[in-house]
Order: sequence, then C-alpha cells, then structure tokens
Amino acid sequence: MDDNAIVELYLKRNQRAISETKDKYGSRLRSQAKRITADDFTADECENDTYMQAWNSIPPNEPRTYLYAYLARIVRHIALNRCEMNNAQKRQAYLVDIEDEMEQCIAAPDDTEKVIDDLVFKESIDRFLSKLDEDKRNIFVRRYFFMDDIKEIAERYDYSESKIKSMLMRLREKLREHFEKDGIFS
Amino acid sequence: MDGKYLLEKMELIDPVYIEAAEKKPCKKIVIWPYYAAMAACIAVMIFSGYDLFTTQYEGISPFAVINSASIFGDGSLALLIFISAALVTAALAAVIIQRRKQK
Repeated sequence: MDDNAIVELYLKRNQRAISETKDKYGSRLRSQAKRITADDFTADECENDTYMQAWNSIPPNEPRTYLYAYLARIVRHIALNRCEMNNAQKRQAYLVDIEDEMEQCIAAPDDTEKVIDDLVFKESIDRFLSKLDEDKRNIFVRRYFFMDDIKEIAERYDYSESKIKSMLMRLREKLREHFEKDGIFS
Repeated sequence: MDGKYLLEKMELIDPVYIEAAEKKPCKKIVIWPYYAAMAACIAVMIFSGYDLFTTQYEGISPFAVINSASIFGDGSLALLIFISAALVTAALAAVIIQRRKQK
C-alpha cells in the first residue's frame, strides 16, 4: 500500500492504518530505535509509541509524500528521550561518540541553555545539505539522523571505513564554518 | 549548547533528505577492466592480423614464429588467433554497453 493510501486510512480514523504502517515500515523503525537504545524491549516500546504518536498527529499533519521520514523522526525523538531516561547516569557510549562528533560543529560549545529557533536552524541545516553532493549528503544523514555506525555506512556505500571517517570529519568542519557564517551557535 | 543539543536538532532536517538517505544506493559498476581486456584483444588482433596478411610474402613476415608454430605452417594459427580475439572483443563490447546502461 502506498503512503498516500496509508495516510488516507489515518485521516478516516481506520485502525488498519496502524497495521499497514507496521507492515511497511515496522522493521526499519524498530532497527532505528534499537540502534539508539541498544535494547530489543525498549526498541519495541519505541516502535509502538511511534504508531500511537502517528495516530494522534495525523490529522492535522498529512505526510502523504514523506510518511517514512515523518515516522523516522518520531521514533528517533522517542528513542533518544527513552535513552536519556533509562541511562541518566551512564549514557550509551555509542551515543556519546556521536554527540562528541556533533560538538565539533559548534564553534564554542558550553553548558548554557541557549535556545535556537527551530525554523532558523532548519533553514540553515537544509541550506548546508543542499550544497553537498548526493553521496556526502546521504552519508551525513545516515550518521547524524539515523545514527548508523561507521561500519554500516561503509558497507552501504561501498567505501572503506577510513574514507567515511575522513569524509565525515571534513563535513563537520564545513558545517561549523557554515554555522559561524549564519551566526548560529556562536 | 553542546553536541547533544545539536544531535537532537538534527530531527528538523527536510524529510526529502531523510527519504533519500533511506533509499538503498545503487551498486557501483566497475567498467575499466573490460576496457583494458578489450584493448588487449585489439592489440592481439592487430598483431595476428599483420602477421596473417604479410605471410604471403615469403621471408618478410616479422612474426614467422607464429607460422612455424602452426601445425599447418601456413598462417592458419594467426587466422585462428585473429578470429578468437575478434570474437572476444565483440563479447566485451556487448558487456560494456550493457554495464553502461545499468550505470
């Protein structure tokens, strides 16, 4: 069933929408949650919470052409929050590594609670991504949105792990310069 | 403002980029070895063709070793090599065309 038809089921409040969503995207959402939480049980809970949140948010949202991206964003958010709650004392080492990488994109990281306007950030990061080659953009998104590990990305794109690492390092440097130019995080 | 904050904010990227990154990338198709093999076959064709067409002039063929190695001694081996190389070149050309279409 295509995304448009699934969204129609949500809009008509037909509970078949959930089963169709699970059939089409369940395994991908679960593996994304598991990558973040590193726990099967928690990943299953995140997946089920995602369906509930999708049910509650469609309508008013109508992600007819990007249903998977919409669900992936929800499951990512839920999984990160769950990880935060469950491991308050000891963050999962894997997530800490990615956070450390992201910190390299901030000119002057600190502990303050400065809030960046979501729209401003979105426009800036989308502009940055639009200037990249397709391969580099996909690799960046796989690492920092989907949180794939380096080995998975290298296998997916048929590059060596060292090439992926150096590519990501250069992209982080470019992103830091981009944010400085836009006046974000400075 | 730290890496954790930025990592959370990454959820705001355009869904088009998320969908694009989710698609399986096409397998890289390597063509250059086929070009190299075809170049080698063409070189063999030139070599054997030259020998084939000069054997009619007794003692002039610089590649008499091919003819002397032939069981017929009359350039048949050179002809056989020429035809084999031509067939292999044609097969490689077909594979290259197909691979370029896949690319």
